[in-house]
Amino acid sequence: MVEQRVIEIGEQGVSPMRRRLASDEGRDTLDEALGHELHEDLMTLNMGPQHPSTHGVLRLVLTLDGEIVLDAEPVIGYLHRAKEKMAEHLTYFQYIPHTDRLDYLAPQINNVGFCLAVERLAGIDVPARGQAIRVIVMELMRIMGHLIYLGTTALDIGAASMFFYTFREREDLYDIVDSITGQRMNNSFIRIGGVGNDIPEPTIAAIKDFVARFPAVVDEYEKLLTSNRIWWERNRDIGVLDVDLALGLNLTGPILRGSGVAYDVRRAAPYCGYDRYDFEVPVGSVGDAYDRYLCRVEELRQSARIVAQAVEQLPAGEIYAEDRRFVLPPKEKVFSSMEELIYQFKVVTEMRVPRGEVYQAVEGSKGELGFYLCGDDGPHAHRLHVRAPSFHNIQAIPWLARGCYVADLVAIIGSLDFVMGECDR
Amino acid sequence: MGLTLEDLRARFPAATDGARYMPVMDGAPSCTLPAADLLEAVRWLRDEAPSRYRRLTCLTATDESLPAESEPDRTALRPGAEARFRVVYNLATVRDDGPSELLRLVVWTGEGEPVPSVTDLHPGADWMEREVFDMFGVLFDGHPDLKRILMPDGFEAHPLRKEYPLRGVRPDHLYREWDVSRGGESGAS
Repeated sequence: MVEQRVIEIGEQGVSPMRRRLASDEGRDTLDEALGHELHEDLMTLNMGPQHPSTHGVLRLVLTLDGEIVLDAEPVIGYLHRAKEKMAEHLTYFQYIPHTDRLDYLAPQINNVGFCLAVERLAGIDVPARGQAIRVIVMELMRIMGHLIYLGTTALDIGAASMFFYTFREREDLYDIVDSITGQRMNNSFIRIGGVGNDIPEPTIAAIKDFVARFPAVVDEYEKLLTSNRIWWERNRDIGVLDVDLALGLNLTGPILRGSGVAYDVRRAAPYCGYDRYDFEVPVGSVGDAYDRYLCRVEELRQSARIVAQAVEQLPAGEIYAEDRRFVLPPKEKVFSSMEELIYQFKVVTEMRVPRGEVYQAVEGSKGELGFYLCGDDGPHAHRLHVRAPSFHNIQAIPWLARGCYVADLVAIIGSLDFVMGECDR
Repeated sequence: MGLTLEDLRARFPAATDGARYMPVMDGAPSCTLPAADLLEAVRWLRDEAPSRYRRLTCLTATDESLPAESEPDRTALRPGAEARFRVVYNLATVRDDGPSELLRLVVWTGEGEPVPSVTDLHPGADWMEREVFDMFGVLFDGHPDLKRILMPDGFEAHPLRKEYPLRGVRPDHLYREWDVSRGGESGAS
């Protein structure tokens, strides 16, 4: 559980106006104030699509009364690349690299989600070692995603040094991921039925070393932020989400958990053997930006815990399922055996996934990442829909922004933690 | 134990059509509903059913017409389809730290036949319905502001329909000025 409210600071730090606006009567006060001649001139302000704090190409159309946000309308679609349409025209194996480009800060989680959906339709069981390698890679990706959140959100709020601290560890992780997958970004490491290759022995040692020292590093981050008076003032009671609103707005991941619901897909519908690992699901109590921050920081530790267990208990055996209808043959056999070469060709070009439909959710770093896939007895999907957590997180902006200051809007946007590649697809 | 198809059938007799448990989804129930029953069903599932489906986790649609190259008149439907579009509602229960249950509702609809909007029950459906409208042209009755969300406002087609080509159609308005400046016919493709 997250240790809540580690420091107590008196109420003197909160302006009376801000406290009033957060309450129901605050709305009436605001309405009254708007009738006054001082509040007749409302301003429409475009925030984005190139604003640095919008983390990509999000545009917000703000209606302002002085410094107070009366309304905020997100305008999305600037990064729309027709990923769902392409899924209907590419074969399943060709589509895997496209999933990397959804949440490109944690690409392997998207790979796994898509491959799990195909595996469900085709009835493929991944061997235990393949699953454990997937878990290791996914949890490293989750740490990388949360490190970006920490660094950039702190940077937006003015704590520039945080960015350098988190990118130091992110660079270490890139080295590790590079040595496993052969790429730093957009790795496309997961295959239908398994993973691309085994983890090399020296990398196992590097991962062990990383997860052993990482908890101390997280303590260091917390020293910089958790009890930092400025960070606390900028995040406390900002963007408060109660449970009903969070569920109604279809929010998931650290945002829903920050509001106090311990919903985590890794627990609610375990995949890749997550039920074998011991980890906690941190929850908040107030549902403000500070709680969401605390949840993500705790998840950094929990992810490192899962990686440590997965590396320690890494089962022996195959990393690939043995099913030549759907699963690529091992690369070394493709180069030495004619049959395997033909299998490879057949699987890539005309793998037939049975007709049927499946909704497969995984816990992405931003929330529940779902793949709704309709197979069609052919090499292409009939329909693929990506339930992107960022899409829903951005939808919540107007609900949280009304009545806050423009400066607080930056904290709210940061605390919702989205990535536009996933939102616009 | 959670909700069974018998519970659903007892409450909504019209929901029996196509009702089944989905083997690939670990036996989660799935059923087809007439559009008239949709709002009451979603409300009942959220507030009164044996398991409370409080999250509308994924709302999307599929186009069940056959691709244009095999059927140029575009009136044919895939075998088993009841209408052109299938609007799919994936609902989920939320339990603290425990397994969640899934349920799928399907509503069939044709061109220009609106489906009731569930935004009053699930405010998060707002953008999902806008996306389905944007991509398929399915209309939602009672939606507060049904407009495009991913495609630009002036866009004319619904790109996830099967007859829409992968590479798009030539955006004539972008080329018009270029054409005219070279003596071409305005808007010619």
